[in-house]
Amino acid sequence: MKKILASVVILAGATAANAQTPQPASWTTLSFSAAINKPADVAWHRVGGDDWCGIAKFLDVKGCTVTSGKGELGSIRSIDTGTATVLEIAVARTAHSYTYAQPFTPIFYHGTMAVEPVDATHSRLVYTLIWNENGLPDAAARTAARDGRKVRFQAAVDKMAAAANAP
Amino acid sequence: MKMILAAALMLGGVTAANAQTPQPADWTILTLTADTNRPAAVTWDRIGGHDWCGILRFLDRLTGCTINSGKGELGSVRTVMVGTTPTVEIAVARTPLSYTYAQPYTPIFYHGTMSVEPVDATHSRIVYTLMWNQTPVGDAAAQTAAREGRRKSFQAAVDKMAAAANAP
Repeated sequence: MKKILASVVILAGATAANAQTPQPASWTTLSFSAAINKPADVAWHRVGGDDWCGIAKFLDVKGCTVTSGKGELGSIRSIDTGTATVLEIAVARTAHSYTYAQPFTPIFYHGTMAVEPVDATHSRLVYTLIWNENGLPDAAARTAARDGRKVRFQAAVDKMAAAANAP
Repeated sequence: MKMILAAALMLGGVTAANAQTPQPADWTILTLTADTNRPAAVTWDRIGGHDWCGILRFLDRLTGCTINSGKGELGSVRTVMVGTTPTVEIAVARTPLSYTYAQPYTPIFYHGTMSVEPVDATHSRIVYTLMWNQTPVGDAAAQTAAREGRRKSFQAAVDKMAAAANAP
């Protein structure tokens, strides 16, 4: 039984001591940005930086539920994508950025929303994503995931920029 | 065979669709800080913010650091040596005055963030945070040892960074 257990767990790309995303990884990144004609503090507030489920106002998700916290390190939220419910945890936080990760999916998915000051009255919204494509089954699924996120997150960033730039 | 595979994967705490850190997770967090009498941009440079293996100069538990790819931008990969154990770390977030790294191939979902926050035009604060899932670490004693060990060594690193930032 021990031998069977070891071999099937290795087949799945994970061992007891190494139970994370598949190796070798194929990391892919996406970066979106938009210019904002407001100071960083104002922009951060308007794009939902102070609201742990604020992303639901901009990204086409079906819902977002705060499980714990208010966006500080360790806060947990549950995103309803329409086809699945995904848990996300805040793994980093600065005054004008937060980074979240999906601890229970195999693609080691991370997203960061940030506002960078440009000058006293202007700032820049930056949204980045990174994940391991090798956690997805084939080339078609990888392309679909990447292209889908590119369209959805660009739309979200555009919507955030509109909200931030509104009079 | 299918049944054996499913059962074995469950025993291993992983499934094909859920091959990440063990559930239920027991998240733990450390926050280490130090004040500096330098502007944020100067502090960031002096503590190695522009050097993807700069942490090696400050964190004594490391015996080596090798850059596998990148210069610290999103997706950069480095291998740090804790004693004789190599661990791969990847940059999962980057801002002008912070970076966040993660360990994609360890079971504890370990994340660290080094950042500098401006206090005023001539002062700043180093903030180093760590976060991981204690569930796979072992028993309570092992979890405490991991936590206290990191608290001690990372606070020492942050103090060393502050000294470097504050140097004339």
